[in-house]
Amino acid sequence: MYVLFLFLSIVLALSINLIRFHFNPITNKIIFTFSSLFLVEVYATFIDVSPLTWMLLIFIFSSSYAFQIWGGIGSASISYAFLHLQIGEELLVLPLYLLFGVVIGFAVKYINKQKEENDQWNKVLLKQSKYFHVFSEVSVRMQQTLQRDKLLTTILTSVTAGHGLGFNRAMIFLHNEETNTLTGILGVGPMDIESGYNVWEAISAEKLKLKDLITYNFQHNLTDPELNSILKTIEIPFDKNNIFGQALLTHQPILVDRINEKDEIQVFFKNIFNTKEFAVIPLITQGKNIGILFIDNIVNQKPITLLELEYVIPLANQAAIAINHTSLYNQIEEMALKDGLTGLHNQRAFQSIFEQYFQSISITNPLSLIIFDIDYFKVYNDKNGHLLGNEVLMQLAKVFHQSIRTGDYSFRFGGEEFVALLPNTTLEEAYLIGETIRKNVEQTVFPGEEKQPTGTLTISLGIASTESLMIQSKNDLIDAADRALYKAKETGKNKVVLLKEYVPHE
Amino acid sequence: MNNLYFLIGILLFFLTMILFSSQFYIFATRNYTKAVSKRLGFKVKELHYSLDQIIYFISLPSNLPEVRNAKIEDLVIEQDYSCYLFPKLKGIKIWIHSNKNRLELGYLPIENFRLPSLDKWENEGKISDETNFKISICKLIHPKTIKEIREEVFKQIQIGRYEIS
Repeated sequence: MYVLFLFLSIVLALSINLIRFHFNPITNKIIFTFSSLFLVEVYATFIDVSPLTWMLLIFIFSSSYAFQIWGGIGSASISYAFLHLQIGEELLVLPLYLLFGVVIGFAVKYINKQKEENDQWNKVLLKQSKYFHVFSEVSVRMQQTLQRDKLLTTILTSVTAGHGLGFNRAMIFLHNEETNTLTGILGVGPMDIESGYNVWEAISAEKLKLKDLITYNFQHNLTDPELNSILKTIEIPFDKNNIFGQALLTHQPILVDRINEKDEIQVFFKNIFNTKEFAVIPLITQGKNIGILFIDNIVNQKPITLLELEYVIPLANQAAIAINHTSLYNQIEEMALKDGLTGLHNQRAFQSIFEQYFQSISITNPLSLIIFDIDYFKVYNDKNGHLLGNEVLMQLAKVFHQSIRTGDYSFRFGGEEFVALLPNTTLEEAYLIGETIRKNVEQTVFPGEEKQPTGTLTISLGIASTESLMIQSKNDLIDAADRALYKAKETGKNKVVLLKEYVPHE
Repeated sequence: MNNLYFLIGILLFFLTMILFSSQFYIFATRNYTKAVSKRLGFKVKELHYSLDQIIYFISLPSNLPEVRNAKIEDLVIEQDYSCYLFPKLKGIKIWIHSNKNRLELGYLPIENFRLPSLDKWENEGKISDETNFKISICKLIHPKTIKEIREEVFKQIQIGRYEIS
């Protein structure tokens, strides 16, 4: 009989386990609690009823464990009723049962509370750990590039990616100092809930990693292209009357949980981007306003909390430094490749672009070069002074740049010498372009040009092309164009000369 | 002596309950998921997911020799439950043995393991939050998912998040 009871204990536990998880948590607990009462009653009914008084404590314990204090009180009452029915009056037992139930219930409640607190701490620490790693990884990533678009993509992806901060959508607006506006540059995220789920599904299906995600976002239009096409047309005035200006002026992020109908910008965002709740984070470094990071949860509509914003701020600060760094680098790079006086590319840029195009030349893809300079420029400078000479160079550069096609390159080679690099252009086509430049210069009125020997300011041009089989190197092409220019000078100036047959120097 | 048998019986009852509760909890969750998937016409194994939300406790890629030199089979994936008698899956722990010590690598909380299809259906009112949660549990503890978690974590610790192509 005892062995049978032991066997029943195991079978009952397994059976109860099999059943109870198919129900909701409350029913699960009720099943568990009464299964212990059942076991006690089986023992009392079939084996021995005499220890029932203390055996019922098992039931009270189970109930207190499952339902805490109220479970303890309820089960104490039920136990007493069972005891009364099976053994008879034992009045003193009821308060003892109640005391036992309440003590166990309190103890379980206390333990559960401690456990909940620990779980809460764990959650906070997990979140902190996650943000720490996001921040450190993204910082490293940001330091690896000086390309603005790549940098902005990294920032936006880290804000929106699942392993990042996990916001549904983010956009960057950069401050334009000339117009004092905030211009929409780049955004990541959908325009509406439906496309948001589709994008997420596609990313999950293809198991895209960050690197792939960046490529996908912009090369495969995985992110709704509508967002970026609209974003790039947005210019927001930088003033204290709109939320963007306020965030930058106060140096504080702003959380908008309800659209303020008085703020045109907020209304605009609600109408265009279907946003109901969003946050704007200022991007500021060393007191310089870099721009604004805009975030919202368009897909899951999850409210953004102030605590979450706290986590975005270090990343936004880092982003501001990196964007500023990139912008300064680009300015310096541009200065290094541009001629300070005329704004045309300089000789350093010429060498680099020339090299790039020369590598891809072929019979069907010839490269042509025009070299020209101003006729009698020494005379001009002597009679008008170098300051006016500089004015002429600037004006000439404008005429030159306006006379070439899109895709052609204009350079100031040095002094009064200029070069046009014409990719995929035959000698005949180059001649037409050269003639256009010459005519446009001749027709332009330059200050002091009447003092020139011919009464007007003119240029002479020499043209060569890789179509000539004898041109084997970059130097050959430059030399050929130079010889043509020399010939133009020798044969009367203000003319275009082609070098059809090139004989290299021995 | 009689009372001793009762105590042993009760002990066996509770021990059996505790030892097998998580298995039966998963069994019931799987049954529930089967019923829902039949009703909605989808297969759990075909649901897409992302492991992006794994929280790592080490730098990626890791410079720790014990992590760098670890083999994929050294990684231990362990289910984390809330309590013994009324278990609820909280997430997945990922760790390795290092010189007889346990080195925690990462953790994937179940609430972070979101499946786009499920969230979409929940948003459309087709399933409840509880159903979403139960199906996510089934997907997370699916042997194929566990295998992919192992491979993913191994790649991350060896190559890093940003360099994986």
